[in-house]
Amino acid sequence: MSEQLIVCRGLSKAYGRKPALSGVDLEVGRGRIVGLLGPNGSGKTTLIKLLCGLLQPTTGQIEIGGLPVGVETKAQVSYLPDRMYFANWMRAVDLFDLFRDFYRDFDYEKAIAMCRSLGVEPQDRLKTMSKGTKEKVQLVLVMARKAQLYLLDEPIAGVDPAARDFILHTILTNYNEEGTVLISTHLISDIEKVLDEAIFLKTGKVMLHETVDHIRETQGKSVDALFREIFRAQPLEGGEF
Amino acid sequence: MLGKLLKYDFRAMWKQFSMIWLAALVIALINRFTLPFNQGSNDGAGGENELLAIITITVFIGVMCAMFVVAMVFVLTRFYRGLLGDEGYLMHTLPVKTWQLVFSKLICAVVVTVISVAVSILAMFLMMPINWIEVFDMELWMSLAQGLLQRPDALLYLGEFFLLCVVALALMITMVYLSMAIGHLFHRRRVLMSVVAFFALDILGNLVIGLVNELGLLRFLDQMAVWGGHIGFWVGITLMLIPAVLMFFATSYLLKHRLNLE
Amino acid sequence: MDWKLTDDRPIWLQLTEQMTRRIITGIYPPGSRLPSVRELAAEAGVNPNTMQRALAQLEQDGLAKADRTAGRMVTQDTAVLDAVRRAQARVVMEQYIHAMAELGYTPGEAAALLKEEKL
Repeated sequence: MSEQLIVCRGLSKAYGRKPALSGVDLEVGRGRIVGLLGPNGSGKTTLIKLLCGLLQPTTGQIEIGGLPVGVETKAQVSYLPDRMYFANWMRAVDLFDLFRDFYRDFDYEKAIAMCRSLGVEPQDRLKTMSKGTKEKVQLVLVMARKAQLYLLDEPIAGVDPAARDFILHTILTNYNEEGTVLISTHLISDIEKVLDEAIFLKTGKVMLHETVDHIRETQGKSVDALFREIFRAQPLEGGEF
Repeated sequence: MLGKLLKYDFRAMWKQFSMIWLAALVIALINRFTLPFNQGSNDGAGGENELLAIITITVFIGVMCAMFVVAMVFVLTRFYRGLLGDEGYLMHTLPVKTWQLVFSKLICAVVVTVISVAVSILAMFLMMPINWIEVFDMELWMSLAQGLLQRPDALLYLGEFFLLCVVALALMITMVYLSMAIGHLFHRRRVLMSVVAFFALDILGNLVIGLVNELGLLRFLDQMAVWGGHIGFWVGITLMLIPAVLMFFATSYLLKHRLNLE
Repeated sequence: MDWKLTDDRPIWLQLTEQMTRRIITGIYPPGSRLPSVRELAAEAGVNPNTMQRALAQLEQDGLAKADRTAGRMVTQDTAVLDAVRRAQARVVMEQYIHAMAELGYTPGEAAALLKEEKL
């Protein structure tokens, strides 16, 4: 096992001529919860999709656990996308079957138990579920794995504050403690207290990568406050997007 | 892993087609009794029966058309939506090789088309006023068996013909897949670019055939009549298999190295 | 007793303070077993690593002991508990004296007033 879980070197990604990430150098260790923070369009989703292999870098390298993104890394990465990705005719248990078939680290019993505790009936068809319930099912799929790396893309964006606590609680009580959780969000105050580290992304570049404690100790303010300060300073800089 | 992928692709196929296949067969069977095959029995009530027959045959044709339209749409969307759309978020994060994803879709697409053709042939038989007692007449089967004994390779011919059809189908489907994979390389108007790519591939294919012909590489085909029919089939199968395999790997390569789900 | 976390200081420090308070007020009595890091972290809605750091500080302060079999126990050393309680009391008294000073009372007057009011 290599020391760092995620290593990115000179990582850039452009969509056509539009840059989304430029020259990202990043190292993230194991066993921590990391916030990937930045306003919309700062490259959070792009970075996450690069890490799970849904996008290919324009230039630069990515390694997860010392390996380039591929079949072996996909087996260790548990990804919560920012959209629904399953066919509507399936039931939650069908998805659990699928995950059990493909991921060795998927815990079927745990998934069923998580469903129960989240108030989801695993035998129901996805078609009959509300959007919020489907999101819960997707969260169960992702968190019932004992993965090395959890990539959670905006897990709390579209829900009310009560549901946010619920989701964060589910993540906190279920993730594999030897693994790392990378959570992207622009709602920092809600998740700040669960984070070990914060990565600030701004127009495709890493502005800051620091532990939350260190930010609070040296700045005397919360990560949220610092974030607002940094991103309020030049409100027009987003114009190039 | 390919087996597991197939399991889920076939499950999706069964979900979508079981009802259509069943409906085609049932409606064919209904037509068997409503269609006026036995002319001669004009006893005045023909008008009503005629109307009924028109309705049932229309429904039958409708279901058959629907079946093939759905099959075509299925072949396209299982690939496009399943690998290049939202479902691709799941499929491409599974720990499987890209070629396995494509191969599973390809097998499923071929099987759907083959079964749909088989169902329509079966439906035709069901519709005919065949006297089933005659079919199970021993004599008929005996003579069939005797015929086979005289030309034992007839079954082989049948198998070769079937294989030829399947390979031709696979060639068509891989070409469609490759077109979509090429269309995916563009950042905008991916569907339009897929269509353009399809026609470009078609033109390219014709150019290659023309070139090969020009160079006289196919002259040996003239001698095939001398070698006999079996070799002819196998040469045909090989000639179609080569571009099919090439396009299959081209598709897998593009999906592996150029995937951009945005 | 709810967890209150403010924005201006490291979270682990605040967790240590609140755990300390829970111990000296007897919510976790002397000699009792503390909940696991994971349970406490989930309850407070914080990262387990942060809670771990807070509990490590408690150990350093002598308020808790790691036990190989039973997890973490609250200390039974009353001297330690009394000292911590005394330190906390001192903070409260300082706040009182400071507030009274703003109202124009000297520390002596403030102490006398406290006795007089029999609070």
